Amino acid sequence: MALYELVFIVRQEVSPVRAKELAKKINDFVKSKGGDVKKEEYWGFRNLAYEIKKNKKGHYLFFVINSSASCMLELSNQIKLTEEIIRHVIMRIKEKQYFKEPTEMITDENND
Amino acid sequence: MKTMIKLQKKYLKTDKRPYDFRQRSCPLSGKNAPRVDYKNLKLLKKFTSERGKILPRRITSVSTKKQKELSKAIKRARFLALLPYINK
Repeated sequence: MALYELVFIVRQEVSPVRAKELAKKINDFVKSKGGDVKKEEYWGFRNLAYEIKKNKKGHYLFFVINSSASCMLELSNQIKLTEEIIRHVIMRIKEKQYFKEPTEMITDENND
Repeated sequence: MKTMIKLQKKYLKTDKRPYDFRQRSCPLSGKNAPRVDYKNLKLLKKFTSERGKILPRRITSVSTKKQKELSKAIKRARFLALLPYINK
């Protein structure tokens, strides 16, 4: 078991409700594999710094997950198959890099 | 005679160092330094040029270790379209 950070961007045509549904899907998936989600954040409908697949905006979702490596690999494959998600990253983080407080993306209002 | 030498030394000091060349300390090291992270965009923007390039260490006086962290954080933020690769 190790800590991972997951960030992904959902396409601009998708409604925020559907984006949150996707978040729930990931939550359920991790739980079914025996891991747990430590933190979940919705960074909002943000402007992208450059166009990705003709998208100028996107919903940003952020997770901190504690689970096994094989589960994360499977999750990554699942995300790749989801067409609503245009980009994702999974990063391994150390225990000391994890903080309970919400990230700067939420606390700083003009973090753009 | 003694006073003369003293004076000379003083003079030399000020003459040879018109500017302060002493090393400034790294703004990202130390106790109250901010955490380098790809989510902290405000901080990352301070270390990129107007065009979006990463500023060299000789300008920002960041330590080698922190510059490595910084460049990784900036590259991560770029991949996630939080920061631009180029600002035209």
